[in-house]
Amino acid sequence: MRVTSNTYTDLVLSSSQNAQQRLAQLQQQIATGTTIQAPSDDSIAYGQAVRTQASITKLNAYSQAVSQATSMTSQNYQAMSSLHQVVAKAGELVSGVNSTMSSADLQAYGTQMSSLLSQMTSIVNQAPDGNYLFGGSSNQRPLDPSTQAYNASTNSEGTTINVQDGNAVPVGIVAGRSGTPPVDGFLYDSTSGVDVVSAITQARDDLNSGNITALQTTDLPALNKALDHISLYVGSTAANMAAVQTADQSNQQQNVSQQTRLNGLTQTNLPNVTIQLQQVQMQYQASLQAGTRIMGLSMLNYMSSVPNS
Amino acid sequence: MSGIGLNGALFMGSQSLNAQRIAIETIGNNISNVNTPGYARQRANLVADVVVNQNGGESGTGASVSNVESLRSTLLDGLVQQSMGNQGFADDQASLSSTVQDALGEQLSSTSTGSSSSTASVQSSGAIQDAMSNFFSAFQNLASSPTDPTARQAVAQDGAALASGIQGAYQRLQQTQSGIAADASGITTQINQLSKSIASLNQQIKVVEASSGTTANDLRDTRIADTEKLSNLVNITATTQNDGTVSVALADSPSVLLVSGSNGGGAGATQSLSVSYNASAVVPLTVSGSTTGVLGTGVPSSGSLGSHLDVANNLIGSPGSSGDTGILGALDDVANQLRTQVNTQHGLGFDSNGNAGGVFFDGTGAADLAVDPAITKNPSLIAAGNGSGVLDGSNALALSQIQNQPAIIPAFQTLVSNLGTTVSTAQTSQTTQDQVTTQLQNQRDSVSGVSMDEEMTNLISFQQAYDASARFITTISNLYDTLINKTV
Repeated sequence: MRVTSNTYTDLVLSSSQNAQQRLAQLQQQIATGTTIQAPSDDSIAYGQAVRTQASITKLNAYSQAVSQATSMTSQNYQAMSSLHQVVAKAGELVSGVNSTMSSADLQAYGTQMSSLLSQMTSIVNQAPDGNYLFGGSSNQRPLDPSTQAYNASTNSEGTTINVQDGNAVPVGIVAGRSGTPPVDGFLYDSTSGVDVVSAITQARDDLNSGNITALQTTDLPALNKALDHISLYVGSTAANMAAVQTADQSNQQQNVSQQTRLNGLTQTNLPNVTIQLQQVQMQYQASLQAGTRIMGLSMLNYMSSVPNS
Repeated sequence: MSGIGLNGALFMGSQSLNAQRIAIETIGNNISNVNTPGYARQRANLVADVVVNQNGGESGTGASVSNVESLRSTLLDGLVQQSMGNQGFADDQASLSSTVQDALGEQLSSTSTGSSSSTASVQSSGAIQDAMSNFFSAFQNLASSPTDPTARQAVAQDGAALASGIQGAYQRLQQTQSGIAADASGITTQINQLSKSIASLNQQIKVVEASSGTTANDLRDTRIADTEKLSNLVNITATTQNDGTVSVALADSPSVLLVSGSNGGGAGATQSLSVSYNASAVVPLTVSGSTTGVLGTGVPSSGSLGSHLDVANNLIGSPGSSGDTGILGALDDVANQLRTQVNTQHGLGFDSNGNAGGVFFDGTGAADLAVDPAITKNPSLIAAGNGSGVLDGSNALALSQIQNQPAIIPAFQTLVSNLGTTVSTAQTSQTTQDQVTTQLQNQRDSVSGVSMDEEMTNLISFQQAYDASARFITTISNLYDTLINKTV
């Protein structure tokens, strides 16, 4: 092919433009640390990166939920454990009653029973952050602090927190109440006939009145039944706490995995890109040097020696 | 055998000087135009003059220039012209689609905290993408803390940020479309001017060639350069007529003549082009011929103007309320789905006061999407629960799960990915088309381009011939001197 003067110019312009574009691209990758910025850089990888990033954002939101669920399930467990101790203590008091005890002794036990009742009320009515832990979703105080009567306004809706997709952990367990209709919970259960408040109140009253027969035949079995019932809740709240921890670990693992994936999709391989940058720089330099040398050669350089006879 | 005689020889020397001079002038013209776009190198064709046959011998009478020829390949000129149309389309397609991508504003951004390759991480996926994630995460947080006023405020603020992000992108896209329409209008002005210029050159070529009987090389070169410029703006068909003029018509619509003889740009039977833009029309940007009226959809299909039409009408498209095409249509669809699905779920829930949820998002599309002012003012109206009590956040949880609906976040991600593919494809096409055009131009240059070295070599050759011719005349002159002054 015949080569003309402009062929060299076009070639140098074209090759230097290509080299500069590539240099700018590599420079940007090094400066930002990512290989993809605009969707057009790699639309498939961009789509994957965006979905991964969205997934990480979602996991971060779950980490906040996990933090709150951890706090609440821990409070639930502490409350159930304390309640278990209170009911167990009540049972111990009643089982310690015998026919040799004086009415003064029994009344002293009654006083202790009243104290246990107050402790129970305090545990059941606790409201961290202004929200009653066991009042159901209606956020009502479960027991009247002076009469220990059930609050008829509490509902049966416990609250849950989603700690993972499709994994809702109960965090607001319901105390329950007698009434119509009754609400089943850890204080009252219509199916098994458990009424913790009533069992302790009745024991206190029988201690104060010295009704040893009722204490031994009715109150003690009722308290034992209540203890068994509370034990179930201690177990279930411990399980909830463990479920939250498991979810938290799983979320963290997923987060690390997604972050690794995201980095793999977008992160610049710095040594690789630096070498590429050097290669393109050399190509650019060689192209300019070759262009300058070839374009500098011309017949014009030798024209002055043409004889003019 | 008597030859041509001293007079004949003197005349032959003079003819030779003339011929070498014309050849040197042609070289000078070539050197002057080495960088002139569209110029084809010229060559003075030397021919031996008539041979005198006298008394058994032939005797030459010297040489003269038969014509000055412009070296062109009609085939390569046609291919370059066609390629210029594709080049114009590819260049603008890459540039405009990239502008559209910038207008949408969805780009990954990262922070780099050190020189190590392991310290950069993606921090943002773009304004709308981030706003969507934040909005649904805010609902997720509210589900865990329905009585927390901060969580409610976050939902309202993130909702407003999302609406604002969608609105902003929509407005930027419409502004880009409007800018493309203004560009297209400028392109039609250039097309009309070039049509007039080609028509004027047609007239000049016709007159010069008829009067001189020679080919008007330089005028034809200028006309070819103008035709290529026109072809770069819009895909055309150029036909050379018997009288040497060129007729130009739109390739997609041959009845629309841009140049015919000495008429162009609307004169005589030719038409001028214009564009009209209506942002809310099904097809926002259209091209009209001055007598044909609005040309068909997608006409012209190539050249710079074709690219402007394609990007404005197909890539950016029209709102959901009219054509519902392109990115504007898709953005409207995403905004409408977001509004409808959030409002529907929100209506199923109950606010902090136990009242049924009202409207969360107002608007009719992406252009006016906004959080209802009542909610912005009083976030306790956000219906986080299902009515069972203030600690219930189940409706907020249901609202957060709307993000999994295919018509919202996945639809938006598809929109962005598709745009990325379009831009990437356009950039690849531009590179390919660049190479095709460069190769064709190189091939044409191998026929028509000026080589300085070649011209310099020829210059020396013709200069020496000129010198020798002058010496020949001197010699004949000496012979005359001998004959006249020394024979008596």
